[in-house]
Amino acid sequence: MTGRNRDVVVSGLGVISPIGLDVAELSRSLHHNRSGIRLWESPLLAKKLPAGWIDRDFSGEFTKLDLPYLDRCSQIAILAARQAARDAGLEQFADYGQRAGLYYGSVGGGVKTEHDWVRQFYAEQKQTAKPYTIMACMLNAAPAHISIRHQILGPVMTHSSACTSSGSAIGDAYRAIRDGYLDVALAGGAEAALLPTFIALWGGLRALADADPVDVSRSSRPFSTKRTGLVLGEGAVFLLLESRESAQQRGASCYCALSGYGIASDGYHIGSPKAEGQVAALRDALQDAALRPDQIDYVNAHATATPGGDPIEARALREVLGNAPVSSTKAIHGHLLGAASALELAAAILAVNQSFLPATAHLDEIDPACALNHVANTPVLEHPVNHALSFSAGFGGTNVALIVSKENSLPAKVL
Amino acid sequence: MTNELDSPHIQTLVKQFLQERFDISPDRITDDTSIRDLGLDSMMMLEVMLELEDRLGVKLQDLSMPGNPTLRDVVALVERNRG
Repeated sequence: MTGRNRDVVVSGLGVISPIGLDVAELSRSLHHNRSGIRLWESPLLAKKLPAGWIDRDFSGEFTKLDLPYLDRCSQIAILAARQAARDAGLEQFADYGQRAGLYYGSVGGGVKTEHDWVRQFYAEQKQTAKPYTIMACMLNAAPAHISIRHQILGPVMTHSSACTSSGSAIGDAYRAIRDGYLDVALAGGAEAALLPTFIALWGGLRALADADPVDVSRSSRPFSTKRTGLVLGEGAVFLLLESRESAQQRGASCYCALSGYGIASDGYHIGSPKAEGQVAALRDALQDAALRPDQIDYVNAHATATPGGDPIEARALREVLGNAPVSSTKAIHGHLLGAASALELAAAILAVNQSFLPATAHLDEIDPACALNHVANTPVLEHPVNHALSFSAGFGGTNVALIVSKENSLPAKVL
Repeated sequence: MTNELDSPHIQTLVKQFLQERFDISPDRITDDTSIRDLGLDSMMMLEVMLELEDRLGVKLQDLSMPGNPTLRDVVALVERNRG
């Protein structure tokens, strides 16, 4: 392990999600367990499905000169990154030169642009795409646009490790600051892939949840005996990370410290998780944060609500973290894939900053195979959280755990 | 076809497309306005040329233009290509 040179704090948050279009709205939704899961449908698919989709067209936020290059994924990433930078009191990073970085995670990138082009090719016999299409759908389009707009002149990196994409992006940004390579970084992820072609891809896996026949907003049920699969979502979340010295010099307030990062891979199967890899990532994060398991006050689990995945994760969490309170906020926002880790870390950050335990909604019947100290149905308010851990596990076997801790030497951010 | 390729018609088509696609008012465009002045980059200019091909039903063989072309340069290119 490299030497811990500097502490890292979270001084800005930006959120475009099914349960809030900024950090304040995200906090309110978590406090009240307000679900953003709604019925999604397409004329091309016979089945209507639940999804954490954002019923808003963001193209009005951009000029027509911008839009040819901006897939919806890039649009929401740009908006969330701008929120995070402004929240931290920063707008432009040119003065940092190469000591400002951007670390981004996504699974699909500009999926709509790419799939539209494939349709034009096969169905309309187009021989060439529009000039911008290649740049609008490439995986690193969003971070490139953010770096251009905010003049982030150091590393601009794209991570893609399925559901841990934004988690490993945040973790690597944290390490770059901690180890002295950077002073400040925007880190997060984005996903905007709620398209019939993409949904049908997941349909092939038979892993998607059915719509709850009574109340579609209750269709995502992590850890429940009634879970039927995962609910896909879309959104973008960014953190502004900086060294504590940098925040002190700027007179900035912060939400918390980012105190630990663990990453480990299963080396096992392309689509099936393994508890041993998850255990390794969790232990790695604890060691990095120099914390004992009993010091973790809240765990935001990955828990996608698939029949097979939740019990394996529960076993790993039990083994490493014992009786720590656990919830999966995917019950209200769904699975944001490349933005999942970032959104769930934001929930853990708010747990520390706002002193509460977010709950797993719709958890009336806990699956005995998922036995944990569940925060079920109702958030626990006015509950001090000194250390919170967010865990993610991705297809391909990459596992990421991030730990955030109360920051005592800087003023706390007030929402 | 020759009538459709006269300069005023080409100018009108370009202005129409720039307004539809990029919200650029025709009032801002003179013969000497450069694409950079309008906020367009080289790829947007390429789309303009491809759109002109579609709307005029011609294939522009020679797409060489100055680095920061004006509307006059665009019209000249189309006229040069009409064979």
